[in-house]
Amino acid sequence: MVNNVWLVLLFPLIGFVWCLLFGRLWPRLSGWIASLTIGLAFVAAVSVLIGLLALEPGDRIRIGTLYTWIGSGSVSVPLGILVDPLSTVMILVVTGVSFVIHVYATGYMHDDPGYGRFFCYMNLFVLSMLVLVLSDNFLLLMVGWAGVGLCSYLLIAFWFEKPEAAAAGVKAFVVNAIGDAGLILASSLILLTFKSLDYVTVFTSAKETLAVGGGTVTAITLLLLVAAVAKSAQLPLYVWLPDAMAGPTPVSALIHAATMVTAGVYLIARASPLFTLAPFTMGLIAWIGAITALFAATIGLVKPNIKRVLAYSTVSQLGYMFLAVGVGGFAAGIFHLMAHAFFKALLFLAAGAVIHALAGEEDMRKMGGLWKKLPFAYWTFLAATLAISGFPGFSGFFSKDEIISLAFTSDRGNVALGIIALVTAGLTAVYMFRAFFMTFHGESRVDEHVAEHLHRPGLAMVAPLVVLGVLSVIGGYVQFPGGGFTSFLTPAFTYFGVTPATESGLNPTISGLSVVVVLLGIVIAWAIWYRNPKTATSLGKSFGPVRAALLNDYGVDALYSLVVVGAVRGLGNVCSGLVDALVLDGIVDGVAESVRGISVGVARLESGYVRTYAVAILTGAIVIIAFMARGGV
Amino acid sequence: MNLSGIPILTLIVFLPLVGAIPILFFRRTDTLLIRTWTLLVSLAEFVLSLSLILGFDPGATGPQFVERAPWVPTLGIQYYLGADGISLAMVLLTTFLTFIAVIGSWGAMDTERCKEYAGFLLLLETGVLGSFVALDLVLFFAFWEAMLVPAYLLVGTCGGRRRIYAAYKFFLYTAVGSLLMLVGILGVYAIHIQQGNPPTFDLQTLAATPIPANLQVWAFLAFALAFAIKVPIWPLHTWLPDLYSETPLGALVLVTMLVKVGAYGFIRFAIPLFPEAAVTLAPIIAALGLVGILYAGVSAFVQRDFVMVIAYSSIAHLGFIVLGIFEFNHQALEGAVVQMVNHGISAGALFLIAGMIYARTKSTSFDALGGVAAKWPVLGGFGLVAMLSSVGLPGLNGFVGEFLIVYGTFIARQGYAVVAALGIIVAAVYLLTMFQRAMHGPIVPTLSGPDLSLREVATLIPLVALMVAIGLYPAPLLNSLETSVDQVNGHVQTVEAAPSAHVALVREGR
Repeated sequence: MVNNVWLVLLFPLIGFVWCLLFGRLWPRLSGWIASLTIGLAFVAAVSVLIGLLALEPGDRIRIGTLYTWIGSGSVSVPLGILVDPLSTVMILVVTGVSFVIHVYATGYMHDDPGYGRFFCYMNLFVLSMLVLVLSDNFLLLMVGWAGVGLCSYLLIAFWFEKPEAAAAGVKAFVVNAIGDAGLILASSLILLTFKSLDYVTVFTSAKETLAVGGGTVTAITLLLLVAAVAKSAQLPLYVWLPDAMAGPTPVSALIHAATMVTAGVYLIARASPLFTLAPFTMGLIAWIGAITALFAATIGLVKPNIKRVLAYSTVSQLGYMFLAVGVGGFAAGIFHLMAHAFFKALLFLAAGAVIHALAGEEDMRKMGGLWKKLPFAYWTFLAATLAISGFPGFSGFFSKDEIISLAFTSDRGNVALGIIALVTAGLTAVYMFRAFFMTFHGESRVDEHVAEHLHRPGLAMVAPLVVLGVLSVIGGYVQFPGGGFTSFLTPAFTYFGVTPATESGLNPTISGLSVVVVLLGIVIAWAIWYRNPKTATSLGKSFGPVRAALLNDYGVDALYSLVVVGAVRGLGNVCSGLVDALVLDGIVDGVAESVRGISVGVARLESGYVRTYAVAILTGAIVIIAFMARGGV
Repeated sequence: MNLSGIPILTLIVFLPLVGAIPILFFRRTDTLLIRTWTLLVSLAEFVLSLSLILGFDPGATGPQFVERAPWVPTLGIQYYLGADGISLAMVLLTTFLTFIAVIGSWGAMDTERCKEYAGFLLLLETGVLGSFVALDLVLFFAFWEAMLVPAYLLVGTCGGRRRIYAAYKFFLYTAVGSLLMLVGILGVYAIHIQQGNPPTFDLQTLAATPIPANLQVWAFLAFALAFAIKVPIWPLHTWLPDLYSETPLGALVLVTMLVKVGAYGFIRFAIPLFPEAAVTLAPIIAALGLVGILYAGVSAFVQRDFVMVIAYSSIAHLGFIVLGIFEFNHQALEGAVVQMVNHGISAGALFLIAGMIYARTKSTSFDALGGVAAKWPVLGGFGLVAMLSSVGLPGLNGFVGEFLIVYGTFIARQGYAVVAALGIIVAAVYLLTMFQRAMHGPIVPTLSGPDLSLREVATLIPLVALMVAIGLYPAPLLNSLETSVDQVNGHVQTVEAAPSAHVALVREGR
């Protein structure tokens, strides 16, 4: 059963190749085949889980190798995969959520001329993510790592005739390339240190090879962190994710929930045997996570575009996951990753249903009062909003509560981290319910023409909403009874001598506090955006400068375009425009001129034709050789 | 080891030359005949070169398929050909790219310059191939010159508007390089004879000749400058963007092999002949490679023309190759050779695509382009893969070479590796920006004509197939290089081992 893991990779590959070859010819059929192959991959993943559960908990690790991929001298890197509880959870989440999104997309993208191409990219995206999580070494990881980066580029820039979509795609790719560079250097250092790149060899010998807190392990983990930060859109490299909204909505769901951004969290959890040896890096991860969570949540408070709010909420929730793994709660981080996959996919798909209904409108100032007209979107969006806010009983409650507790109580946690996590939980409730109220309640601000021709979602779009809605509500109960999810996942870490920080049962004080904070957040949102929407306007006016700063991401994005892009362009102009054109070519042309000057007397050479010179040098060479041949030396 | 006594290397080297002779007698207006003939010759040549794979023994040390005959016995000049794994890879790449260049030039060759185009292309192939298998210094020099002359003439007769300036500049640069190399060759020869040895230009014999360190540096510099111009290493690169922008785009697929001959010259001649000087100067040359990566990278970013971006990106890629060559370890050098192959494939594909765009729009300037991928989706798709191959996307060919170079550099000089990694980011910036400017955005109204023809698709498919094949299963390429790479580095490692051996002796003496 565990060997079915190859099928998990094979099915999306078949779907990708099919769509590549026939996507243009038979778009509709290709869409269904693409969805079917992901569904089959999910079935195969389930069978892997069953196979794994049949094994003893301490023995749940299997490696499969196809062939030696890169062999050069002493370096030998296989095309190999690793099945353990961690990769199994990941393939289940990836294939399961992706399948639902694929089905939804067959409805959502119905009228798009690039239908076949869309599913081609989507399947490649899923395939890349599966390679990423299944690889048994750091180099093959990189294939998946760069593959998801590529697919995000292709899908964000899917409507590439729109200049902003094309630009957003480039931005995503370039920021991810920064991470890729970090990963290449990390791999080099790992290879140099361990003479190997495969996880099992590196992780089992990590403790003997590396001193705790030593320079090498700190360097390795910091380089890995660069890659994780870029991929998971954390500070300071989050800038690509909000712009990524330029892609079709199912893509956003895929990027934010199933594939791509969770890769950074996965990488840290996967390489936990290295990270736990580097306390400095761990502290940094926790702080990056906490600050990013708070930072993005505050921005989410003001953005008018519904997809952008969701984008910042992803950045913020990923911050929670970073915080979790940073304080040693590797299982808790993955738990939140899974819960987040359900409710974030649902948020995007429900928002997509709204956008679809409103013929592409994404601005919440032009929505409102939609709850009657779009009941499925309304109820499922509500479920997801409750889940992400951490409302008691919903999936996000269990996963986020565990992170907040760990931030306070784990060995690597502290009160400051805990308070940030708690405040962010409140803010999350505020900005998510703001979006909810602005979209579905109050008076309709929908354009009249659009309102008359409201597109109601078909079955292909409604069914995924319902499935994800159910998962968002009940997804948290996999922890019961007795922390079932955590105890399934833990052997993946203990196998390499890492003990994840866990919360034994709910901490009543902290749980109570977080419930209070969340309820408070909902009430605030209700008071501002539901009870009397004028409050929002007047608040916006009295906090004008703050609001402007938030709307502009505290100026981070502008700073980047100014400094980074400006620097590259400036340097480029200096190099090719100034140094090449004036200095270097000046020298060459100067030499050329003096050659010309010397040859003034030699009329035949003055013709200026290259042909003459060429023949001259050929003749010269022949003469020299002939001269030597005559024994002239 | 001949293939049952057949002088296979001679056949391969001179088949294009012989094939070029009938073109002299074809009527100028009969372009179809000229083109068909050229295509057949290049195809026959490619098939013939494939036979080398059958006879090649990857484990054998030293050159294979050796042919050796006295040429000018009094001076010790020989007709001496042989190929190791590195030569083999380069020969196959050359014959393959020539064939692709001919198909890719099919439309562009249909002019009154067809005879020149076809003839010089085949002559160029002979020159390049000879340079890759010559093991006698004079013979190498002869092929080197025989390679440059058709290149000037090709650009000078069939090139673009500024072809005269471009060819002239190229000529000036390379003439200086050739002269210096000639001086270097004669210098080594003289030293060899001074030490009382019989006269020879045999590479292996001369490489075994001990040359005093101070002379080594000068002789090395003479060779190195010639090769550095050809690669080109920063700051000797300014001929390349001009030449590339004026060369017919189909022919450019083969013309990119010129820069590989430069890199090959370091590996085959400069380093084995003067290992101590190479070791001494390696940090500087590698650093110049790094400068080239970043310098050409930022320059590529501000170019306003598709071809110019690829031209600058070639300089950056060659910077990686130089870096790999001068780290003197297995992975770095093997990565460099792999990257030489990759550059031929990915730059070749990008130039072909530029040519296909040019055939439809009569321009490759970004001012005239936009929405190409929307207008011609198949063209856009191939362009995408070629661009990604050039970026070094893991899973495609570029990554294998790039990773080996970065790792090899990391072993030797960690700071350099970090800068090289920065270069990878810069490559993503300029290549994706290029793609965005040309292929994405709204469709420019001036775009007209059909998507890729069957012939054009057939030209690109072999290149894309190689990108995927080398990316996912590089073993055949890597295996054939293993022994050869160690042999090249062997020249250097004896040098590097020597000081420590010296120290050990001193200690024992005490």
